[in-house]
Amino acid sequence: MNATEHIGLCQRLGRALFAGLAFMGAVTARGGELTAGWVALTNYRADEAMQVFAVGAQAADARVAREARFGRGVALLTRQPVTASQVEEARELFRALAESGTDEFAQGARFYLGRIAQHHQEQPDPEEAARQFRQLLAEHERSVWAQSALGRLALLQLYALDPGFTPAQRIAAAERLLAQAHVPAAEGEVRVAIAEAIFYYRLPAQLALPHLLAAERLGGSDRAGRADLLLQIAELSRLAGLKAQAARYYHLFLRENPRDTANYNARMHLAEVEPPVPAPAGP
Amino acid sequence: MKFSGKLVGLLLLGAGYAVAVGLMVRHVTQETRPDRVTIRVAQWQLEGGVRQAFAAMIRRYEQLNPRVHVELISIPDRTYRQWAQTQLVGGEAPDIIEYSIDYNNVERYFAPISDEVLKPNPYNRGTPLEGVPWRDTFLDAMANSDGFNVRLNQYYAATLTQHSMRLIYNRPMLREITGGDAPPTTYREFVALCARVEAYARERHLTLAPLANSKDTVIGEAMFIFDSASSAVAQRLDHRHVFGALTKEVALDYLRGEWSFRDPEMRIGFELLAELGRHSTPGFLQLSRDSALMDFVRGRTMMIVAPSWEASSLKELCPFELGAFRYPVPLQDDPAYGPRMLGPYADGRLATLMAMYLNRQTRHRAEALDFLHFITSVEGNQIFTDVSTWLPAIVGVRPSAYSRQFLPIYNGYIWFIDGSFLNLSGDDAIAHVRNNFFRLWGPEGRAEAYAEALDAGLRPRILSDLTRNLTVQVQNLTGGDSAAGAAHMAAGPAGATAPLALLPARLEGRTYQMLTVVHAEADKAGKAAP
Repeated sequence: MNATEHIGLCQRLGRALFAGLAFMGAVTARGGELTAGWVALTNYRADEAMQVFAVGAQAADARVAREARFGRGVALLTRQPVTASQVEEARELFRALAESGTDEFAQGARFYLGRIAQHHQEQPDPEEAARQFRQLLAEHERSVWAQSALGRLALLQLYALDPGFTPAQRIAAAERLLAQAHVPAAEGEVRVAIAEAIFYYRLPAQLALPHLLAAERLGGSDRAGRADLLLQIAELSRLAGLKAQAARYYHLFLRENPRDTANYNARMHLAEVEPPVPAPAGP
Repeated sequence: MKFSGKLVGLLLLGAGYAVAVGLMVRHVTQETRPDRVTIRVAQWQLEGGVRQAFAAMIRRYEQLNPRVHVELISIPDRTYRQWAQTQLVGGEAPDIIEYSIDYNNVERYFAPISDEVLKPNPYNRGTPLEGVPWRDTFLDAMANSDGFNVRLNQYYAATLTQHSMRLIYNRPMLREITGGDAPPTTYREFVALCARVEAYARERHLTLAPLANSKDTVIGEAMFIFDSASSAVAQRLDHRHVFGALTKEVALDYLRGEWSFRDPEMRIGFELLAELGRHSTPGFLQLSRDSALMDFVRGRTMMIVAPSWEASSLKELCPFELGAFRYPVPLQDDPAYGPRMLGPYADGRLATLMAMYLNRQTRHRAEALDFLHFITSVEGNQIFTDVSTWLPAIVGVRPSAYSRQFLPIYNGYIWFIDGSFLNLSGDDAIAHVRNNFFRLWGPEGRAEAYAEALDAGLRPRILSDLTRNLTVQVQNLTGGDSAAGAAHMAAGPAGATAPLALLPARLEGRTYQMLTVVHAEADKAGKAAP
């Protein structure tokens, strides 16, 4: 074998090896290895995630390749330092995905197009964010991505859109979104957002009570959020003269948060709404 | 035999080199011992007893876990933040790091422990806390700003202690001056005691003041006094009906014109602070914490304004018996201030401190977590409390007889969740409040002048603080977006039905509220909105 043949053999072997690795990469990606990228991203390791998605993007399986492109877009939004051009690249990836299908990645891409306009780009564009969220809700109302978008759209409605609206009109606009909530967590998010906006705009606080009661019934609040909910319901019920309801929620708060510093205040207010327990009758 | 100076120098240099090599070899062999894992713990508390407490906890832990070696790194607080962040950025940071939410970037450097806090602490087996979720074994159930990070909605840090502000006193001196050793229990008794000490000093021509104080230590005491006395304003600002407000919310209320330092309800707070200053060491605003300690240790004052974490150092330094009491804020029965008072007052929020975080990049997560479990178990925290004489953070751990005097009182009203009227929106507002202390406590100081000066410059400073804070909040939101989407995708079909675990809308809503007010203010000022 002369030198030229030797080089040619090496080149063929190299190509075969690369093809084999690419095939293995595609097979592995199809086997769920993109999960490693998602796990890395949940731990803020965007560079590591992007390497996984780069391999996945070469996959022969179109679905895997789409997921990998979606993953790259999500990673770009958090890879440090996050630059405007990086956000723009993510937007392009999401736009292409959103406009080329109706699968989960198209829905997720639409969600992130909304979020980019809402917070990620240097100059937020609330109208564009709302447009993306509304389109997502119109096309896939019951999907995870649309239900996740609902609370964010409510926030836009409550604080950013329609500059001429009065606070009451903003609240009413957000309340109309409740019809599109199909999972308890999404409805709870919207109701709590509305209640908080009522407090912020200094509207009559009693308007918040039905939303808070509904959110509490729906469940799903994180611990701090639930503690707030219980106190808010108790306090607003007390102020409305709904003594039994107030007492019930003070008790719930005290039981669930036995070492919270707000307990003293809660106990003092509970004493205002709960009749003193009569002393047991003597013999 | 005669040695030249040069030879002695060379010998010293050689000896130093040999010691350095020896230390390095020891360190390297420790690191490379295949039979055990070394984890490193960094902290900044150099007060008396704390390092010894760590050493005692480590000794016991290594007894129980011979496979693990724990190294303690203690760095002075003045350089700690820079040191820790440099180590973290360089990927060389210890496995467990004392850190503060105020240092930012918590989510980048540290691993959340949310998955762990609902499981029992294994080191509590055989104690009344056996089977209790780790979170609920802390006195505050981890509801402190480091334990549960509200912005990120995740549990991050395990804490070791709690603190309070107290007036520590020289018990023999109190006996000598008053004939008794009971500390004052009411505001009027406190004022009378200060007057008596001053009279005693005058009669005997002594350099003796009632209170040792300093520009450092006065801050904590001033916040407690002022916030207690201004409860009526804070209560009025509880717009969310949760018995309290965050400092940033109160700062927004200020920008919205809902309160000012010249409100009539604020006046009593300033008067109480002015009184505190009159009984403190002359010129205390120029003094550091160490000078105040020296004044007290040398008997030039009868009392000292001190946080409980100084108590362990004072116990080591003072040749006399110590006592401690809480500054008695006037209550409803005070003849002058009573009608405006809304006591009793709590010693701030029940919040445990000294937050130990888990480095996100640790190669020994299991061992580091295990050590965190140990130091926050009943046994581990009892060792910490006994040796340091600091207060415990864990349910059922007994404070020492000495530290019991510093146990915070939580049975009272409290309206601030995370700060004080004197500790508002961020660095600029805080600096403004502190840089004007001289208008209250300087030679020509007056309560009215201080209140006026605060209001005169506070608005732009709150605005700059909140503008900076908005950047951080938006970064949290955007970072959380990717993590939430990724968690949904990683969960696969099994977790595909629940909406994304984004930052809750109530928290994102606060960002919008801040944006709205800041934009409005910026528009008013004719500036471009951030």
